[in-house]
Amino acid sequence: MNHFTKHLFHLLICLLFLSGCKEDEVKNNGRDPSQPVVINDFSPKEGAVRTRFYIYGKNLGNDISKIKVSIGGRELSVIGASGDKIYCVIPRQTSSGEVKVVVNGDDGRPVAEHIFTEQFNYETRTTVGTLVGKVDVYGNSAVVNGTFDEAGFNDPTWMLFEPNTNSLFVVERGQLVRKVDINEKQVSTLITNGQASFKSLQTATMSFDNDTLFIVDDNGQNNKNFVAIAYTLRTENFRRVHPYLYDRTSYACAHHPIDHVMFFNTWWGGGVMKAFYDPVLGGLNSRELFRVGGNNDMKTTIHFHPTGKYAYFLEGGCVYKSTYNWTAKELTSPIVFAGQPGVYGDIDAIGTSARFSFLYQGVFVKNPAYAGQEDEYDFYLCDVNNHSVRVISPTGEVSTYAGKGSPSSDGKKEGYIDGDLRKEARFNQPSGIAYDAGRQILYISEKVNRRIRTISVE
Amino acid sequence: MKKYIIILLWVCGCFCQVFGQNDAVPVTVRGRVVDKNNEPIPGVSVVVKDQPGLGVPTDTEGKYTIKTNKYRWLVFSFVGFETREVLIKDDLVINVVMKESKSSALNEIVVTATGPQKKVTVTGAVSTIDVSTLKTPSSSITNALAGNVAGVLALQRSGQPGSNSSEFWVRGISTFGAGTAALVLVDGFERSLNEINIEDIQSFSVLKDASATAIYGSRGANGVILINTKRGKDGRVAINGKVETSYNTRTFTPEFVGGPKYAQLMNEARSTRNQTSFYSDDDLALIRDGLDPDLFPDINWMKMFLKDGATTKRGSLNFDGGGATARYFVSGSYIDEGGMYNVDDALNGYNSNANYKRWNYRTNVDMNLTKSTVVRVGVAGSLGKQNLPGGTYDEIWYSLMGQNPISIPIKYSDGKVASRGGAGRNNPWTLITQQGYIENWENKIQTNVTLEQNLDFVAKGLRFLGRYGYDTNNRNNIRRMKWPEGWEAERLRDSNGNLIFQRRITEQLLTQTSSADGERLEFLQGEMHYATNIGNHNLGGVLQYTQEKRVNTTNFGGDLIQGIDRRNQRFAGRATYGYKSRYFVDFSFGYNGSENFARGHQFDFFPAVSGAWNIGEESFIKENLSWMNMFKLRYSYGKVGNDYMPTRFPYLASFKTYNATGDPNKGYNWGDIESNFGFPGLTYENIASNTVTWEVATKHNLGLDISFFNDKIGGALDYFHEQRDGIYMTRNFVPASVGLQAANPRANVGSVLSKGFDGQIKLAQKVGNVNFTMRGTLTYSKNEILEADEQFSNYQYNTQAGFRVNQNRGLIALGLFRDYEDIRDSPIQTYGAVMPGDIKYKDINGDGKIDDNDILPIGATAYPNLVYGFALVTQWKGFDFNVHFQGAGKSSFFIDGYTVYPFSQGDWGNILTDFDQSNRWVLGQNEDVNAAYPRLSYGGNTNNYRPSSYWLRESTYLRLKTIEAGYTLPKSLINKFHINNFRLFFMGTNLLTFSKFKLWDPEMNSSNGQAYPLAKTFTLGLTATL
Repeated sequence: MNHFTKHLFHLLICLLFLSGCKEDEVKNNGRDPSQPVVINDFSPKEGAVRTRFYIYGKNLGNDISKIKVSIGGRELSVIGASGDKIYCVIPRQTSSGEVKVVVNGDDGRPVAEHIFTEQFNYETRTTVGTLVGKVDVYGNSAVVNGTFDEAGFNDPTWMLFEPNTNSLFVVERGQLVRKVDINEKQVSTLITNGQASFKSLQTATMSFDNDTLFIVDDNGQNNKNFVAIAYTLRTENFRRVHPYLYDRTSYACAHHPIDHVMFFNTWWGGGVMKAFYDPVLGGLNSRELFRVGGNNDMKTTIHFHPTGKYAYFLEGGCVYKSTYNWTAKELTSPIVFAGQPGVYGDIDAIGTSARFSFLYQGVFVKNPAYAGQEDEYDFYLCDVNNHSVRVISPTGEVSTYAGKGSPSSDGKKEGYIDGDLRKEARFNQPSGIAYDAGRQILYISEKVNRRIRTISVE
Repeated sequence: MKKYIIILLWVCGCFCQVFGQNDAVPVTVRGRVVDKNNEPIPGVSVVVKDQPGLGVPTDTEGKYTIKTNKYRWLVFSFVGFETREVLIKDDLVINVVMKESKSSALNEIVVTATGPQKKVTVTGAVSTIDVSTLKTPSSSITNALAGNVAGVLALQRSGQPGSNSSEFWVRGISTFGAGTAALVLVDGFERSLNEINIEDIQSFSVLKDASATAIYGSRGANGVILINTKRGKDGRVAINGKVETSYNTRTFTPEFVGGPKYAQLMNEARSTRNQTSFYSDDDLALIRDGLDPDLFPDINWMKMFLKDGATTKRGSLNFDGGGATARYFVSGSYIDEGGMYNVDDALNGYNSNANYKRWNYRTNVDMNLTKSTVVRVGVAGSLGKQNLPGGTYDEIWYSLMGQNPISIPIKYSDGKVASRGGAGRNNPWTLITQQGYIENWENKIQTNVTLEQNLDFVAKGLRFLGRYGYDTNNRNNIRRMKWPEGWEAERLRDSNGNLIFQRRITEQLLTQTSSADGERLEFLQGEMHYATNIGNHNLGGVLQYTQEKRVNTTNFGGDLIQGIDRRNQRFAGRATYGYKSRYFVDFSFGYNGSENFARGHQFDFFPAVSGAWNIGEESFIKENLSWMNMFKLRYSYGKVGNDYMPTRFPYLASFKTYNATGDPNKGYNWGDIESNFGFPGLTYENIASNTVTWEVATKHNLGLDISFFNDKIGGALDYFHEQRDGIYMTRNFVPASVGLQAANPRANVGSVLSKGFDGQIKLAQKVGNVNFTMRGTLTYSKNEILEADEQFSNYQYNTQAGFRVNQNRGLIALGLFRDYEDIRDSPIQTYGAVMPGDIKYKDINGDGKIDDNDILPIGATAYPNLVYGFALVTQWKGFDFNVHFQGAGKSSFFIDGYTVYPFSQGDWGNILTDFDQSNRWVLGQNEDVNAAYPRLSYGGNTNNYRPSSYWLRESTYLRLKTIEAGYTLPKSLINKFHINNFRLFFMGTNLLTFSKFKLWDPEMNSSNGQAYPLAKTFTLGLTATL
């Protein structure tokens, strides 16, 4: 009885939907083998890395594993195909050359091969790339030394470029100092927090001759019984740590590029000190010059202009400028140069109208456009929570240099995307920044992506 | 299913054997059955009284042959004829002439609170429904009420199997403080309507006015629904079977725009507000061509995860029969409602679809212990199993409608499952198929025993009834849940063309949560009936004592108060007087007690009086207008209460301590500023409200019952006027200086007046061989809050008083701003900056600015205030055909949510195709100030997206609720197989819906359409009677 109903029911349903019971369109999931494969054209005719590259034709199929596209011998990764269109992306290290398309049959043998008469011209462009930093698919990474393929970072917060060996010193705050040898493509650990009784090592500075690396420790003390600044020497491969100065807890130090005077800061009242030789102690002692931003306890970082004319202090969302008194060989009380103390935001504007989120490290980069002017350097700095690299001109004009690209509907600005500085690239909490003036490469280390990124001409 | 039928048959067989012993000499009786015109009647059932067996039918010539014993009664019965009983004496040829039975409204029986009563004597407002007109292919009879039952307003919110029952109200909602649901009594006991099997119902009445419900006292104010289940009849055994299979599709499925359009609209939403757009032309081309399904997908989630339809299977079988000493009715039924989600069962090895299966059984046995004592035993039960996907209902619909077509694929090309987060933001595929499943089952067992003692030996017409019953209901839930890890790719690839992934949600291994709760109801009732006639005076009286208790174990742990039974006690009575079927007076009362209130407020008296005058029985009518069989005017007045209250013992205060360490301002601080040394303080959690009691409805009802031309025209019309006083509310506006710290007292302060009418009409006519019957019902109710606990407002329209319960309120939209000059010239709108193309509101109070003081009551309520239905039934020979239209009106609702307000939650939310196809405001292209949608915005717009007349929609609809065509096989054909009746039928429900609102089903009363759509079903079935 039940079966009977079932059949009746099916009959009825079929009748009801007779008009709607169109046979599903047979989708051609591949090529039609009886038809020839036609390859007509490609576009664009020139482009830089990451350019979307399309091949036009007919009966191309949609199985991307069967399609090979190369430019000048460099194979492109094919992302999609839809019968009359193939979509690929121009990879790094492409060169101009002939465009070749191969479509394979099901047996793996080519059924069509085409080389365009017209060449593709590869353009160079300043783009964001990735140098090193292994992060697994879950977003996890660990401190691993070794080649660039395997090396990883945990919290790369601060970076220095060492031009003599073309390497980077990377400080992972509170943990260790790493060395990234760019020539050898090797990452190694130089100093760990446990060495020299560091409580929580913070930042580092190179001496004027690049032979000494100063390391600053947050010893947590309001007395001068502990090491605040230590140093290592090139002659010892920067591996042995020597005490430099016993002082209160400190976050940053800076060596004056001309006078070679050491300045450093402390948490207590945001003071900036000058180190001097104390004959009584028979060693270095310090003297507080002034307090940054009133009398508030704070962490600042110090960045000397290459000419030694002034220094920038970075704190929160604010850039302070302190000019150098050549006669007294001292920094003078700073002024607010860009942003506002205690105020955060993301605004490109002039001086105190501009807004930052959180600033940690910056670097001076010579701008050829300023040649002959009093100050020839722009200051590039990482705006950590705005996930971007900002730039301050000598006149105080603040603009965004890189990051926050690929505008997406979820409103996110952070991420891990290489490519065009503003249109595509995204960072996730960039913190450390260093500059290779010789090769004109900016290096950026990110706290969340845990990678070292580059901004250079590809 | 088959198994159950076999068991039932076997059980039945055993009965037959037990009864089948008789040792008298058998004889063969034969004869012929004819009607008054001496025409033979085939198919008449001839049965030996008080003997088991199916009897025999007459053949085409009206002849029959039956073997039995002498001095037994033969019973001849046939539909449309009066049943005849003949004693077999010496003559073994018995020819019978059957008389056609006359249906008359005067003899119609109405089931009321005190038992069955002749319709003509009823003085209160009672709707009775012929159960055969209640038709639904779903598992709940509630879905058949709207438009079929005068006085009932109903709406169905969801089509999800097992959760697809309708909400209904008798004469609308007339309170805002306590419950609004009607009291449902099945065989006299408070039971749910949802699980009852339609084939088990004998009678269905709705008691609407005070005189009909006063006997229920404090429980009767929201109306009462009385259902009596079928009982066995003596005579032949009747076996009824029914099977049906339905194919369910959806009445409305919201339609959304596709990927390329979505991306284009998103760009427009950005650029029209001077923001950067998200998709380049190249990106749009990629979406259109589908060249990059990982980063630029185009997915129609609704189409992907909702099947075209699902099937429902239903079967029921029942037997009844018996003799003079005992009668039985046994039934079993099964329903399997299939879910509409598109799941791949093979993938999991378990079912994650939204299915509902239910098994019902019922046994009613009546036994005559002595000549004057009848014991009726009823045992019924049901087991309902609901299966659901592991993602919750809300999450699934949030995600199905929220997940836009271009954000994520179902899976990335490397096999990673795409996700935008947990819960409702997860991928619908995960929620529906990969997240395990939920199993809910509900087991109900209902037992009742009735003892009926005829006390004619004490006084003629005196009867005693005692009832005892207990029900146990258990609900169980197991959720087995897991999900795979979910990934989302970065917006662009790395420089080598590879995807860069971010894990959005970590994998959840299988976990399980379970819960169970149950309740027990006990019920004891004693009833004394007395009826006598003294000449033309008919007197009757009923006295009734009832006590009932209910205790449940719904996860209250150590809460002593919640563990206490809820008890009611009631002494009720009714006295009736009738004179010559013309004048009727009725007085009834309930004296009720509830333990929930303070002493002195626990008992109350609810009286009602009613009277009726049947003008049709007056001699001047009988002589002049003999076609007027009944023309009865009724009026009733009385009080009934509503004690449904979530708060237990409002007269008890409770206290709590403030944690002083958390907030030094609470408790006692023995320290100083900035050096706190605090101790917890004691404060009221609930302040005692010791005069709180139930709300009371004062009801007037004026009614008219008619029956003309031998009931060819019949109907009833009732006007009601009810005032609900003493509505329980929290006094929210006690000054802070009283120091109650938000533990505000409660009191009976609110008051609501509701008025309306309901009626039904029936016309029956026979034209040639075709029988026509037309039926119509209408229910309209309008309420107005007279008083509510609220603070003074300068604007009368700001108060609740003076408007409907649940009145819609919003701003009045004047269209869209034409240009910036228009904005400058208009009152300031305080809901954020506006641009041309944004909604312009009316300044109601004229203060030059638009703010919350300009919010007016607009439209009606989201619940229907008018429900009507009309049906046509035709019958020609074996064919029958009927249509039933149902409509609702006087209701409106605001539409909102992310599908209606495009991009109000950024890229979360699909966009209705209606948006794209309608006359919407587009900068530079269509700057129509009367456009259907305002200027686009991205990320929400506080000015445009708020309740206003702009978004108010009428939920008025009219639908072809059921259409049914059936064919009953000729008797001559089926009698050979001992089948009495065999009918094949096709039924369609919700096939057509006419409504101005087309985005989703207007009946669902959903502001955003995020609900399991209502079903449009096509059913094929057959019924057979042996």
